[in-house]
Amino acid sequence: MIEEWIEQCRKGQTRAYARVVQAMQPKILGFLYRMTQNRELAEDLGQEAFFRAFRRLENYDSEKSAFSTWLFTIARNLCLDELRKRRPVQIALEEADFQESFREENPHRTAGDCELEQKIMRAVDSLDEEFREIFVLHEYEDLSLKEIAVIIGCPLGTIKSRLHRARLHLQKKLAPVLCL
Amino acid sequence: MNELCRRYQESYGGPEMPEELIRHGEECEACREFAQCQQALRQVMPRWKTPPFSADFALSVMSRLAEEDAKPRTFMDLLRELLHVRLTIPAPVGALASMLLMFSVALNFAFWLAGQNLAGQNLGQNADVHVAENYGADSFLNHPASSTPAAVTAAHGNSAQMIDGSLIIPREYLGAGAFLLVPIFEPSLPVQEKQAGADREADSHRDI
Repeated sequence: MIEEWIEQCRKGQTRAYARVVQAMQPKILGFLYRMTQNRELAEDLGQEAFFRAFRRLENYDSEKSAFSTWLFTIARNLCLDELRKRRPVQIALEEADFQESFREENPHRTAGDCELEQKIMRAVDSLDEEFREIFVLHEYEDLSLKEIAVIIGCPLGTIKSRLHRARLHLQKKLAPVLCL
Repeated sequence: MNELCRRYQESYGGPEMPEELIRHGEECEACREFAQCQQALRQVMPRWKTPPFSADFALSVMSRLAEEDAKPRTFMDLLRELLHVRLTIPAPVGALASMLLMFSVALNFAFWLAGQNLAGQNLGQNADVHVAENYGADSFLNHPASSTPAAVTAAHGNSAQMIDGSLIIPREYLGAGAFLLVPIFEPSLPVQEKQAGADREADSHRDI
């Protein structure tokens, strides 16, 4: 369906792109949020990703990959650029600030949920970007390893290996939560 | 790591632990722990939910697109679009083109250097013109500004002087910065004597 809308966009029906944005928005914003752990930043990056994708539609080749894969590639590149700029600031974030911002962003969660989520967030955040992106794309956005390989531009073996190491790392980090 | 564990981990999305791994886990404590831990991890990770995003996100994307379309294009925008053109040149062709470019730059540089040397010579020529026009042939021979002090120069065409030496290149100043090399067939004879002999010969012809 998305491919049809994209075809309509190419023919000049700009409104069809609104449907594409609505359909892809949860996955793209979810990925960006889990990578940056900042809702506002994720929305800004998401907007930029959708904007750039539309502006460069003529570069999209539907025979090479699905539109979603191409869009994820744009979002991922934007996200990595932003993370490289912001990394020192994020590391300096105090524990109290982190908890406060988390509560502001998730007002409907219970204290127990918040605590568990924060532990998971911290564990995922402790992964290097090259491992985190693969884990998030596979675990949360349900992308296949082949699709991830296209997005990241790495061989399938590398993706598998990184995913394996990411899981082992998370297993260690979350050992208290996993009740071992 | 056990092959069964690796396979289980690779099929992470599977809801159930494979029978094969369960049977193996009964005997191998390490694999059992690993598999249980992975299963627990799989159950825990979805607890991390995303916060609610702006309801008008799609609207904001579309309004930004509309805004950008409405904006008049600046010169910089056009330049950016022009520079954004992607060239798909094969690497060997690109390398060859780069080498040719470097070679042509080096060649140009060599010619430029040669040109600089010629310009230096022209400066000498200009000095000679200056001497020839202002001082005449008599002063020219020992003038410090002359580029060719061993040469014989005729400032007015009829009063060439010669110095003794092996290299004798008489030249006549024609004006407008041009010199004419004068061929000498008998370098041992002074030019004035040659001229006098020619005059005498002309007189004798006239007498006849």
